[in-house]
Amino acid sequence: MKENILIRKVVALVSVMIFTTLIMAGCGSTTKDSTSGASESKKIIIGTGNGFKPYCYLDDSGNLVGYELEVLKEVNRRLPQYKFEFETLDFKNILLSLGASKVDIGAHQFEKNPDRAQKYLFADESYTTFILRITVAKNRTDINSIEDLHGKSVLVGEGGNDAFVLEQYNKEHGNPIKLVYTSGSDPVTMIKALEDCRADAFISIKRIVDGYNQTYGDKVKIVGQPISTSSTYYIYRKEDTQLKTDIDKVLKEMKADGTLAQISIKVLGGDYTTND
Amino acid sequence: MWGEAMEGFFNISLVVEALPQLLTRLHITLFLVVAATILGIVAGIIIALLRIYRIPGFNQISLLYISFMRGTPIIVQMFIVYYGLPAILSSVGININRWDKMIFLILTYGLNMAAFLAEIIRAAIVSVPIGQTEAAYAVGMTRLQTFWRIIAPQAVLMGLPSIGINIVGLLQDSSIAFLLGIVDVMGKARAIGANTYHSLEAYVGAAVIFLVITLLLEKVCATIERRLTMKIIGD
Repeated sequence: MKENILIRKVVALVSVMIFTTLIMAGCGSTTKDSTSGASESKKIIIGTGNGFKPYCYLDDSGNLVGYELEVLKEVNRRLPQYKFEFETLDFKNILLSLGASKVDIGAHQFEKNPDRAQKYLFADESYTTFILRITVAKNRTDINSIEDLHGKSVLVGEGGNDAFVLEQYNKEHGNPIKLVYTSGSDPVTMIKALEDCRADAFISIKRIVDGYNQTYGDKVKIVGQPISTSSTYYIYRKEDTQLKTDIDKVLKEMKADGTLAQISIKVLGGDYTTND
Repeated sequence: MWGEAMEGFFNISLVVEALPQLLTRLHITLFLVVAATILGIVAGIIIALLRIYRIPGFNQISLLYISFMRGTPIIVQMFIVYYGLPAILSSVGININRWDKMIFLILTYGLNMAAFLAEIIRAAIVSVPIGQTEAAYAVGMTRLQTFWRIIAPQAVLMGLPSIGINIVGLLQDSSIAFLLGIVDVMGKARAIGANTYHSLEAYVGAAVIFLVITLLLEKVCATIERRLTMKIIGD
């Protein structure tokens, strides 16, 4: 008798657990469905990140915000035949997801480089400039150019363009720079590494470094000439030429009528669509 | 000196500020753990029975599965399930690529859990002395009755502590789900870090939450174990 009651209790407990799981899963899927059936437009999934302020990050209530979102929302407004949905992924998994058809567009301040261009389709129209500069601790005076980095260690992001630029430099000059790969490029760990002399420099862009200095007090500075001047583009799969052409056309319009510059001023605090 | 060096990087009051924000995502972490545990237990029991009854073919496949799942990092398994599985299924015309990420994660953690639990359950069942089975047969019980009334209750008692340890392990393993963009407690910690540049405080906040949940889980497991012991052998 005793065991029967016990077994019944266990069964009841398990069914309650399964039931709650189903309800929770059900809630998740119904909210998803209600957005898709609204119109006939083609659903396009945008792969972006959630940890790169001010381009793509989550606000206090967990909503995706930032420049990538604002620009693409405007693009979508002008292209009613598509319906953009946003999917957030870790930076280095975005292009992987693009290749695996998990997402249709990669939007995470991607700079053009031959490695990426070989596998994916780059847009023709850029939407932000990205000027990579050497960043060192405030009190360092010995590093003023890329040549000064010879024999020094530099933090670079896994799969990032900063890594690519320095890898190319190393290839051409016989590996003079020691590259230390980091994942997720957490600013505290990077700046602390410079302060503690565990690394000598990292590569960043001016407006982001300004943000670091505002948050932590003046800890780092930008030195010397830019090591790379490029722009950022949306990335598509090779076969999606129609989508690329449509978005390129709209971006061109947005540049001409000043909308893109306005979004940049509003979100990034300055017009970074054509220069630093 | 130390305090001065950390100024700007770490501010204890921000940990307190981060906590309520992190707690808003706790249900995602818990949902992942509960769903994966249920899947793990169900699949684990099936695999354990395949192994115990040495069903030809399935026994070997189960062995291979268990050694693969226990012998590779969970992050590799996560990528195989998220990217590899849809690729394999699309070659036979089934498209699961656009399923919710949560489903892939539950599948990953559940399948991983199943491998560990299968061995625990198998060990628990075979640890019940054969004399118990013989005695049950001797008083005229059927095979099924023997299993449910004699073997299972004792096996549950044997296996419970290890199962509890694995659930705690799963809780910690869930912290890499953010790599696929799931905003659970850990994902939220990263998001706070990205938003405010104060990631250390957010991580400390997440650590506090994980620690408390782990302690609670251990407490719950210990209580269940004690109650079951009382029920099954107590009187």
